[in-house]
Amino acid sequence: MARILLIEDDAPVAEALRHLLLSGGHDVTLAPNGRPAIRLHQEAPFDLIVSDIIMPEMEGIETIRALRCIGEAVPIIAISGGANFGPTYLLNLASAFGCSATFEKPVHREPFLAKIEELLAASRN
Amino acid sequence: MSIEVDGLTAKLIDAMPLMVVVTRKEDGQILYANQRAANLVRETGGVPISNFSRDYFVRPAERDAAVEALKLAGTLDHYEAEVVSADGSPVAVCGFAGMLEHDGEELIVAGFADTRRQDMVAQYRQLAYRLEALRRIAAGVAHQLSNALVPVMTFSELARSGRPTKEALDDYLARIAAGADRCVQLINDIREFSRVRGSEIQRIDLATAVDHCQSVLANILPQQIRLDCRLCGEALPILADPRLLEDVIIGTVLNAGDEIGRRPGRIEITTGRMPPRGRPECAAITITIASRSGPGQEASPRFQGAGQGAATGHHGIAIETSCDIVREMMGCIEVTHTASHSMIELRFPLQLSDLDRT
Repeated sequence: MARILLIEDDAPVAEALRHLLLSGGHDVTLAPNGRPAIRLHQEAPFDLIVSDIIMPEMEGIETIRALRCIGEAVPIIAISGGANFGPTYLLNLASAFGCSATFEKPVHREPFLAKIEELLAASRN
Repeated sequence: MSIEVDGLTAKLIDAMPLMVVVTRKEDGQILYANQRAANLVRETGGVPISNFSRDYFVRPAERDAAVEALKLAGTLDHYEAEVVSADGSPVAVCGFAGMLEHDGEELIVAGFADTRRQDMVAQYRQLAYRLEALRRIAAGVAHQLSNALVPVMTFSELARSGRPTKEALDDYLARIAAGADRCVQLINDIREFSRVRGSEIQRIDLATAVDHCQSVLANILPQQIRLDCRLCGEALPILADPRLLEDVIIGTVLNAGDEIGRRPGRIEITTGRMPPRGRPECAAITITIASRSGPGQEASPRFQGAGQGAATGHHGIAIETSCDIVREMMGCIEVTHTASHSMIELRFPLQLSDLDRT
């Protein structure tokens, strides 16, 4: 079991992903955007972070950048509707700023949980 | 008589992206033309052209007006005209002109560019903006739809995996149904957005409608275009769909602004009653367009109002569409040109009640 921080502003989506992660046997904490998420992570570091990209107040890319800037090596999975806003594909941008994996929404349970296990195993080694 | 230009000067002038001609003011005889200008004016249908006389202009009066303006001001900026090209087709040109004296003769030095290329670039740019707007709408829809589908997919997968209890299964189904409802709501919103609304004609005050448009127009017209609104103090009741009427007013003024282009200009909107002239008494919006062609000079931008997607790259709805909309409201649109400005008049029958008449 791992402690996972889920950053998602859309309540029904957050609830669905929380159930999905719980079904994988993980302990899940919710944050509505990057700002409280960073504070929560600094207070008690999580094993893995799942972050949406488009959110109010502090969006996903900014959150990933901020976490990497303060030297956090925690695995981060970025999830998004998968569209381009402007010329840049947002999930590619998230990768460029240091997220560990990306998924387009809606995510499939099995590959999503498998990727989480893989990242957790890699960070433990 | 011709003007000799030394080699270096000729090279410099030919390197400019402008057509340059020096003509005799009196008859338009070309005394000098750089290579670009020569290519444009050398011949028409095999007949050599040696002058830039009024016959060479699609609208000969334009040369007369330009010469008059030059006499008064000495220079002419942002001068626009249509001339006949080598293949006989009209070419829109834009440029500047100045007067000088040489060997006791009055000459006109003019530099101008073929604006067809600029129009083409403007068209491509507008198309690119539209595609970008469509991409953004598509991205927004994808984002909303993917979020709506997350609970549907996640809880259906959870329902199929393992052996959920009946309570858990009921909870999953309720969440799937909520997700599906959200998808339906999204589709309804898209449908509503895409629907062309029928007109809702009602009794409205024309001056109030123009007043509403005024603040929008002040924000979207380019800075070099001055917008003056003179609304009559009295109520002008007409039968119209307020939203469609605003579309027509804003679209027409936007097109007028596009006609003026990057030059300084002025658009004046006035409202008032029109005398009956054998027809029912009308309320009218008059949109007057004038652009500055030189110090103290105003020239008509020849309003065409071709509208969105047309070759002129206008932003507003086409004048034909506006005419159809206004006709539905029992009104009409008339476009007139004078020497100094274009005028678009939107007329609607006044809907005076007995109370208004007293």
